[in-house]
Amino acid sequence: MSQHSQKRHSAWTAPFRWISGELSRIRLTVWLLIVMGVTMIVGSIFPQGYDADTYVSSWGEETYAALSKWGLLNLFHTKYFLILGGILLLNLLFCSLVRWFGRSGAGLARERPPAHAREIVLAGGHGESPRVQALSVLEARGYKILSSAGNVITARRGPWPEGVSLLYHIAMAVAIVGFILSALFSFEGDATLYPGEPQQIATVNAETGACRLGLVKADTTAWEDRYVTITLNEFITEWELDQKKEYERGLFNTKYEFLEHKYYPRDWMSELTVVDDDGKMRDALVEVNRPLRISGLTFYQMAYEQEFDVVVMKDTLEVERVRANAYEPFTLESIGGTFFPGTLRVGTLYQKYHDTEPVVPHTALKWQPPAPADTAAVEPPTEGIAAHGEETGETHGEEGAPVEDETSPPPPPEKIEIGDLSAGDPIELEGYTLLLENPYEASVLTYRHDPGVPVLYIAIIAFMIGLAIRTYWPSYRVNLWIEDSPTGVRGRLAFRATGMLGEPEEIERNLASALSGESR
Amino acid sequence: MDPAILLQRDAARLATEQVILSTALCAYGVAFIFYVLHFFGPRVRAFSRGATAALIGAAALQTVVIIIRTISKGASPFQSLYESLSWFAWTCVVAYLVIEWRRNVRLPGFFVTIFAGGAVLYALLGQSPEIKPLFPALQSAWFFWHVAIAFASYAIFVVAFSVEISYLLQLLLWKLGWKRDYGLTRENISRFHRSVHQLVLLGFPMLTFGVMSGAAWANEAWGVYWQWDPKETWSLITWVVFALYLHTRVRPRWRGAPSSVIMVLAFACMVTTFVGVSWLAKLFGLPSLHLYG
Repeated sequence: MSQHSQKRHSAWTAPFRWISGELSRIRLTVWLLIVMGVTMIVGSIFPQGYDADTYVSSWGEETYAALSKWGLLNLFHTKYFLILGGILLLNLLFCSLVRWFGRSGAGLARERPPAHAREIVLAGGHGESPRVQALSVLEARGYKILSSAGNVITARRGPWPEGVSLLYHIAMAVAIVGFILSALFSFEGDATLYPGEPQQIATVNAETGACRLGLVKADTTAWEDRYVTITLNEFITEWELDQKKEYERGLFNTKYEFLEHKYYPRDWMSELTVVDDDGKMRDALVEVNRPLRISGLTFYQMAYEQEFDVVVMKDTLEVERVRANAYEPFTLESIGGTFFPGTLRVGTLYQKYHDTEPVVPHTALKWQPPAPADTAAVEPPTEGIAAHGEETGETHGEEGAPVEDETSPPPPPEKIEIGDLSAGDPIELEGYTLLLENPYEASVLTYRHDPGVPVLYIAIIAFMIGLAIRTYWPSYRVNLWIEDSPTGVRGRLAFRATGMLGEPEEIERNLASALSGESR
Repeated sequence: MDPAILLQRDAARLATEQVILSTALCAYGVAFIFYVLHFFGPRVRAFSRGATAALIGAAALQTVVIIIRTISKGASPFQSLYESLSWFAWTCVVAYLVIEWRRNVRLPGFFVTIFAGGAVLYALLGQSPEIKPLFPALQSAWFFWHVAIAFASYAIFVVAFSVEISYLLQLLLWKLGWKRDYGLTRENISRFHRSVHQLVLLGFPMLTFGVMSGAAWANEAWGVYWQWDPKETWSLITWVVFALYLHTRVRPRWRGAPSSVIMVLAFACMVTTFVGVSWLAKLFGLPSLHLYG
């Protein structure tokens, strides 16, 4: 803001001017960015946002308490970080306002030319004065005349750089508003869907924190609970079988050998019937990377739950049947020990150069045999707090590993890979035959309502457009001071270019020669 | 045709690709030697031309590798770390060759060759070349644009960093009284240094798109656009430090040493985002959504 205009302000605006002056400083932007960068580095060192048990089991109570006290485990949701974001928002807004009010004249020329202004002799022609001729040269070259008062002509070709800069700074401020909306009004949850069993999910009620913007105000009691109803018709899983190749690698001598096949998840999706919170019913599909949007909620295909029967046979007779879940250890009375299943592979199989076929349901199975009788009473060491040794009183070596002594219990038996528990190909173990039957999958969806997302999308698009225009699209601004001299009418040309895709030197040279009548 | 034969053919193609990439690595080695020779004898045209020719050769060989890879898998050639490193090296060299052609200064080539050659060496000796199926979360239209444009920005920042280091090196050499002519004079060195700013200006919108497209993709795949995962956080740190660099260029008094220091820091952040975070997360068992396989 110029000194002249500042004088016109009355004294009561002085505090505002001081605040706006401080908040619009680039120096403040620089310091804010430094502080934000350092804060984020600190936040990246400590895993963020996990529940207390996870931290305690990894680091112990004391470390967790100390880090938690300083807010280091949820740093990006602390008041400190929100305040930092708020100041950055104010900085962006005030910078934008200053640009708008301070430079809306699009960089009109000063009274005197700067030292670097190029000196040229202006040519007249066709009975016109050099000044009129200069205006017509500029207009003929696509320049927009911004001002031609007095002895100075100001013109611009291309987008208004300050205006574009203003656009992406405002977009940035809007993005911060979007983040704040997300932080204040979003909610999320998850739902496990079993085939044919409808499930209701609240879109607006007291539990959601009355967060549906536009539908409900803070007092939820005035509103009836609103729900969407979702029924899983079918859960579909697809697998891809890859031929694993083992390479013996030298820089110029690569040998390969085919090894066993390996299963990779290809896709999983849920075919649903949904009833929105206005009662309209429709069929829908949710897939990884293809969420379903309904009644202000967005549903994502996140995971699945898998169950199956483990059947134990002896001499073709069934002796035991246990319902097991993927990834959850189970025991069998007939065999003993603990069994550790992996993912249940069921659904459709894709393989390169082969036809698609159904997967024979199976899961990789490990077995930990029962401990020897004399150590059976000893509990195996557990992960978590006990692993730190504080509660168990273990002695630790240099690397934190327990030091063996005479009182240490023997380690539990190793887990043994016993093959794939399958519906088609039984496993023989300890004289028994193990089979898999009745595989069953449920779909796990997560859902989220986030009113900040549309705001962010708009802000991001505006930001990208503004930034791209400002950075790449050439814009040229010309200030031409016209002076009479004994040798004719002289001009001083100040040329400023922005935008990387321009050729400013060539354009300035050509413009100077056109103004001096050397080329038109 | 018998699937077994087709698989055998795929494997043979991969082995061939490895040989070509190894040859490209040798070309990087040759380019590096020529750049070292150019450093000591900048007026010997054979050195400078040899360096450029070797670098062009390496880039051409890598182009062949990338084409083979794209055909083999029928998808974009930057989906595993092996592929990403190769792609990174290629984009760096291509971006640098454009700058070398425009500015006719070869000092930064020394540094670019180290980065590109190092990436290819690590890919060849440290990563599996196998083409594996993509995890469902990675099967998205965002993948191509997110990775391709983010890598383009990385390549541009590598070249910008190399120009910055060359600028600082030239200043140091003048201070030490080293009077070799690398095409830089006290008159034109400011213009040469300005090209760092120009390059960062070129790459910054791409980096911005990389970060934002990643957030949009996360919103589609995981239902949350930002989770402060270490990789996400470091990508934002990189963005913030480059934004800081651009703001320091606004004020004349910050354009010298402060902006150079911030440029170096920004580059360090970029490297941390690219390889450091995943490496540290695996090393220390830190949870990260961006670790696959």
